[in-house]
Amino acid sequence: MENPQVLLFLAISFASSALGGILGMAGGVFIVPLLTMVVGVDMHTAIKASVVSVIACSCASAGLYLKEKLTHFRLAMILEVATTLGALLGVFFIGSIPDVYLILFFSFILFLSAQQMFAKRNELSFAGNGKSQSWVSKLELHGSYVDREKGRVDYSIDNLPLGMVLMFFAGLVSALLGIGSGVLKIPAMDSALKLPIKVSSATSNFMIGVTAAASAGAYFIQGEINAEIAGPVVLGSVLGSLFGAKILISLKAQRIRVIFVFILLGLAVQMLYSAVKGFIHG
Amino acid sequence: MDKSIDLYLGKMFVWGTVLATSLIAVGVLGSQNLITMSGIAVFIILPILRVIVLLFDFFRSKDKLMTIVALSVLMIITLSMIVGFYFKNS
Repeated sequence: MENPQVLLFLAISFASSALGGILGMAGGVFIVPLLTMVVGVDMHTAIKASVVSVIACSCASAGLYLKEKLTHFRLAMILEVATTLGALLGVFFIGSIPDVYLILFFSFILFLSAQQMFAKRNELSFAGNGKSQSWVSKLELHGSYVDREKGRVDYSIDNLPLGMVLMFFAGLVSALLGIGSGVLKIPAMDSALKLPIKVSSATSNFMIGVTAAASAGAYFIQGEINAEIAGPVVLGSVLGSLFGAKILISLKAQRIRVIFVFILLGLAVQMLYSAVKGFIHG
Repeated sequence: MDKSIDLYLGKMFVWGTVLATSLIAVGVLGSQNLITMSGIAVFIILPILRVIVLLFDFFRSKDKLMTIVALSVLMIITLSMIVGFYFKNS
């Protein structure tokens, strides 16, 4: 290891992914602000390293979810049409968006994530009007899984059109900011489609791999992925997510939730400050 | 749909992750960017390979609608890479 920054990249991504893993989300939302504000990596490079780490975390946990048979393949594939289209649009536009606007947008997403973490999951409801139900039946989307305590749980899919729209934006945000877009996927899966939380987590984890691959593949071809930054970031993320998933079981989620809200708000304010500074200095 | 596809894909992800992570670890520790990049490439290819596997599975079980959906996802990913190739950033 010639570059002393390698250890710093490893530590940042490990901590970010472990933090994310504790709450069952990807760590991109922490990795990008830390890389840009602590190490001084430029925004585009940080985003493109982070988007690879999003794929890595998705692949690392996919095996476990598949073993539990919680992943809804058909629904994932249909929603991926929307997320990859969003990613395609992101790839098209990211080159022409200056750093300072991406930082500002990132700050907004951090505020939104903090607000979402403060509210309890499943409180919102975007029920469908029943019109999309013929499509849900045609595509055979109603599913079931086996719960260890409750036995077989049958579930149906609610508002598919709204779910698709939210997923399109999740793909766009993922490509533009290098994050897993949990902030958009959670309302799509829980409030619009009304999936059970376990199926929702497994399926959205499955989908984000392909979504991020659509943008990361393009950035890879462009030569925009920096091996010296992305390498340690991906490595730290995979190890961190495995570590975080272990802690998930032993810590009380509600207590950590408050700490997370403050971390997210702190990063959001920092990024907003750095965006405003960027605007003033031109 | 074939029930064993869950297990098959699960194994693919586990071994793919092991391969990609090992390549990246070797690349980072030895400061060999080419090896690091090949590990990153494996990570990018894994989810795309999963779409291809499911595409064949839908096709085999004569599920026309889902075959079209899977093909669309692959086409969009390909398009994204083409856009990446032709619209290089400054």
